[in-house]
Amino acid sequence: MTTLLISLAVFLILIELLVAGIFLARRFLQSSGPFPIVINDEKTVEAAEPDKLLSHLYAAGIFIPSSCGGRGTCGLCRVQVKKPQSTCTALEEEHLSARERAEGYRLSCMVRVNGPMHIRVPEDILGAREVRAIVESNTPVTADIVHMALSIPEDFRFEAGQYVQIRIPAPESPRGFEFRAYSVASDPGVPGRLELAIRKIPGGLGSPWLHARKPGDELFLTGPYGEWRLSPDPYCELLLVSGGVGITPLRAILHAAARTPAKRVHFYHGARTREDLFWTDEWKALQERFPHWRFTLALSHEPDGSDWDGPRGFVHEVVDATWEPSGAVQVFLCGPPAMMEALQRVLDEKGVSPADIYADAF
Amino acid sequence: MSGISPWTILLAAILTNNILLSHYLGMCSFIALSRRIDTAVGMGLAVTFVSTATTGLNWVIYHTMLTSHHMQLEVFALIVFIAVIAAFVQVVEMALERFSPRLFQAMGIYLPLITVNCAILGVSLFMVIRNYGFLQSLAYGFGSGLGWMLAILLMAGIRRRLRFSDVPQGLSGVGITLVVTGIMAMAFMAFSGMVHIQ
Repeated sequence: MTTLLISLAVFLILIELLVAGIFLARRFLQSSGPFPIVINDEKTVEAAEPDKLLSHLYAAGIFIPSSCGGRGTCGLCRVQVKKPQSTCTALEEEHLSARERAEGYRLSCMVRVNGPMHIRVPEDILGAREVRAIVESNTPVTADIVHMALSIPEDFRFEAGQYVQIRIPAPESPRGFEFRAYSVASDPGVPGRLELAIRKIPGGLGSPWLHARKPGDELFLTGPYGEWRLSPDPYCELLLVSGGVGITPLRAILHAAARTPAKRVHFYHGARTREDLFWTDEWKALQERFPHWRFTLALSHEPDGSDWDGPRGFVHEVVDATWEPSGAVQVFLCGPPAMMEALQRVLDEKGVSPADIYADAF
Repeated sequence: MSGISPWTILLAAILTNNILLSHYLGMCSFIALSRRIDTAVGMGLAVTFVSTATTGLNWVIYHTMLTSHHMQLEVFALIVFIAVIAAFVQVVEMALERFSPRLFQAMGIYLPLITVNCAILGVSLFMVIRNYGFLQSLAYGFGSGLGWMLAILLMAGIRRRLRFSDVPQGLSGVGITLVVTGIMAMAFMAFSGMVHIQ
């Protein structure tokens, strides 16, 4: 009996010693906050305890875009870390170019704050905020796309081509929600209203939930984000090319361009079949208002016997065959990655400078 | 205490008594992390460091606390060794993060995996069974780590070539890795005449 008790006592003492060792190490080795995070040399945020930079910024009301829940896979949450110097993880190297890495860019979800920091955040992100929106309508426009209209506070302004993030409930996420990014489809000149087009991805987190929203439901948006800026120069031609639901930001740009009617606009849209086209009445109305604008819809998988009299084939082939640059041009592309690559090649051959091309693959 | 020189034990632990290829310990991380050479090197270094340090630490604890005086607490060796390894890895992780963020980034993701690497525990248990002295134990721990690293590096090289070879579909991935490990183990048996411990 005594042996048993002694054994037990020695064993417990050993385990206690180990636990004490860990606590001591934690006390002396883990630096404790609060650490100041200086943003763009003007704003300072206090980080109370070691955590991801992204979480600290979010807690301080700086809504860095991020749609993967901080797993380092979406590549949206990039910030420039000025101090301290750090190296990228292998995961980040996939999202950052060699030049960005040399300039200290990191994905903020992969940076742990355990000391004072100096970072730089793009100005447009500093302007982003969170607002409450109410669903006004949520109408299917094709088999898998809904057109959602939201009413938002009138002082929430955005530019054509920008995007917002929507807070989606996610019970499995540690914070209980995730963000998903959607491009704004509506005219930036109409205050208090924001429209989106959302394609349902079966098994996805955001799109099935958003498809199920009813008028009167409440959503939380952060934004606006994105550096697409429409050139105000009326003599600068505008080439817009989209594929599938990539039409969303281009609709906002078309409505914004309608304020500079002298602009020449070429709008190309590619879809699979006629059933996948939507908002076609709007294009007709715009075409009647601006006869010098050109709208081309191309179908890649329309059955041969149908009465479709427009161009057939992939949209980059149609652009290649029917569009030539003449003077200054600003190009906006939005669609699936394969389409974007093909288009970049076509535009490169036609001599369009990469600096004039704004591209967003999804 | 056996009278083998620590140098002999070091060499034997790398080649003839390779912890992975002759005892098949530490297989899970071996299979998971042998896809790329750089991860194999990172994990190999981490295993070598932790196995050397924990074998020394466990030797001290075993001989001063578990078997000293009149206490016969050998039965607790297994559970105490697990706790020591887990605690040691935690402390090392914190120390690295504090003093060498660069090394922490390179090795940080592998350290938690080591807590549950049976090769590390196996080394401590063999040290007890074979009745090694302190220096012998250190040599055995260091050698076993190096041997594990050698095996995972070889496997990472082979798997790089396997990616371009025509592996039958049902065997691709883990299947072919296990087959190759078996062949590697047989190849390592060729060393067995060199030195003999045990």
